[in-house]
Amino acid sequence: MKKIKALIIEDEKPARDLLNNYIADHEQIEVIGEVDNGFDAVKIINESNPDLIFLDIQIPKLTGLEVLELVENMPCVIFTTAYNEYAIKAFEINAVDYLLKPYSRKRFAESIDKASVRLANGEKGDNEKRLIDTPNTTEDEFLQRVVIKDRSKINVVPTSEIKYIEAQDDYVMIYAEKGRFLKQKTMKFFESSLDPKQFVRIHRSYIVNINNILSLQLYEKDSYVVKTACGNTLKVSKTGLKKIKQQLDM
Amino acid sequence: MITENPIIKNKQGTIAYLAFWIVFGTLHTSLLLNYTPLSAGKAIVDSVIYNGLFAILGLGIWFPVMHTSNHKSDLVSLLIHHISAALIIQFIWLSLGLGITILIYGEPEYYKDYIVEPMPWRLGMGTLYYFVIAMIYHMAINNIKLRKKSVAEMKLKKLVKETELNMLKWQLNPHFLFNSLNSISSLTITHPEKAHEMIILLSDFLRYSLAHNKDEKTSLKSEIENIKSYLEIEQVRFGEKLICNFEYNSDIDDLLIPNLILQPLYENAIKYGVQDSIEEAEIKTIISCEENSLIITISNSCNDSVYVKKGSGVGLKNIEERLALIYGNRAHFSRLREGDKYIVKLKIPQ
Repeated sequence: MKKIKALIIEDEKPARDLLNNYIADHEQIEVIGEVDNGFDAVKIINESNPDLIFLDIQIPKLTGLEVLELVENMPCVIFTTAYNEYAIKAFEINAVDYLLKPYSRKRFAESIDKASVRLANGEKGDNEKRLIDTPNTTEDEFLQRVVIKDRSKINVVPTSEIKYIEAQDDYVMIYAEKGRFLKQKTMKFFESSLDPKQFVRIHRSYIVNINNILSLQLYEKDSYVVKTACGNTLKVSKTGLKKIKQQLDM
Repeated sequence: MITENPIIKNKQGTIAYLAFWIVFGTLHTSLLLNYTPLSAGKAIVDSVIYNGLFAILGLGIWFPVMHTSNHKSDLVSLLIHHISAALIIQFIWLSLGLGITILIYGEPEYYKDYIVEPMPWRLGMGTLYYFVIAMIYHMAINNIKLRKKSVAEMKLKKLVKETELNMLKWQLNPHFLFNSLNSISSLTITHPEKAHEMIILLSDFLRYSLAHNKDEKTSLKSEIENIKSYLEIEQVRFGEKLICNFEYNSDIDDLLIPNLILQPLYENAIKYGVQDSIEEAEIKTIISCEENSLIITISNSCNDSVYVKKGSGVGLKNIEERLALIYGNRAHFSRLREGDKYIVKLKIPQ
């Protein structure tokens, strides 16, 4: 029988020990590694393509959910966390299971069974079901940072450093202080998860940071453009104009 | 403070005041009819003039009453105040009354019987009116004060309750609790002896948090012991990554500090300084006593500038509120970032 390659992503030693102990009951699982932070998790997943990962959400460097945004091939995911706030998100991305700490040996075995069935059917994680449309934060908070992988480097961009965002087919281009980054997310995602006090969707193709708006100028008859502090000229739609005026109290 | 006259301010007051004057006006008229030779017409005019005038002047009695109730004073000065106010009002009242009577009837032929002779009577009536109205005002003011006081008390109680509730939420941070339980669950398999120790630490910590919910203050020593149990529990989770250092002299052990006020600060230090770090992270505490105040400085490393801070800040706001509630503006609470260190400073008066 082909073994299931598993990776443990967990920053607390006792929690890793427990996982290893539980996993020892299941001979079909082979632990290929343990990592204690988000950066290493992305690196190892992309290098060795595990079939299954045990993923804690609150880990250093990146959250578990951000890790999944950056991996090339989605493995099967079993979340292990003390936070129940992310359960809905976990199922949106088609995770195998969501184990709330502390969990029992029996409950763990059930997760392994589910994962085994899924892997036996040749289904791994679902690349299409990444959090492209839905925010990776809990409901009551706005997006604080965006993670982008640029070849082998992972960039963590605080949203306050974003100047504007431009739609590019299935992707968006994020123009930030440190440069521009391509990210596989939708405009809708950013519009709904960024703080509306700081960002305005001025056009089908643009979301702009209010602090980056230098002026609003008339361009041809009844069409407007925004001049940005970083020297760009961005088109403004009719609804966008309304939103800007509201935001800037005009 | 209370500048609005309750008689003018609310409708019921106005109606009651008018009713009061209608009763006294009628009484006045019937007295004149029964004990003087005046005609009905003249008796009514006299009643309307004098009672109407006093009704208007009576509104002004509000000011001396308000003045005496705002300034604490002894009985003598209170009496002097009111007697002089009564005299002034009556002087105005009687002069105006006389003036108007003369205006209506011309030089009154019944001058002697009607104006000079009943003067003592009128003075008596005026004094009675003055003190009855003054008393009503006094009662109204006390009533308003009482209501204001009870509103203020309710607000304070509500704030204390809210603070308690928030504290409870903080103490029983579910993530901390569940992560600790998960560690214990692991240790029971791998290191049963350590699991045993950790259960005891966790029990001590929980007992302390729950027991001290309502007490105001506790000794620095017991507060620090509790923090140490908390940090030992976290040490099991984070292992060698977490380094804790305490610097203080045991001669300040008995100084007082609001209980559990430090707990949220250490929780933050763990959350932002330790949990997100992959290197060693130190939490350093320095406590001293300067100028009759406890100075507590807690610093933790936060080397990763990219990491965006999350969290609602409820815990920190709570600390500020509690300090303000207990010490007014004599306590101090500040937070700052200095290079790769995050520093919290507390000054707690003794």
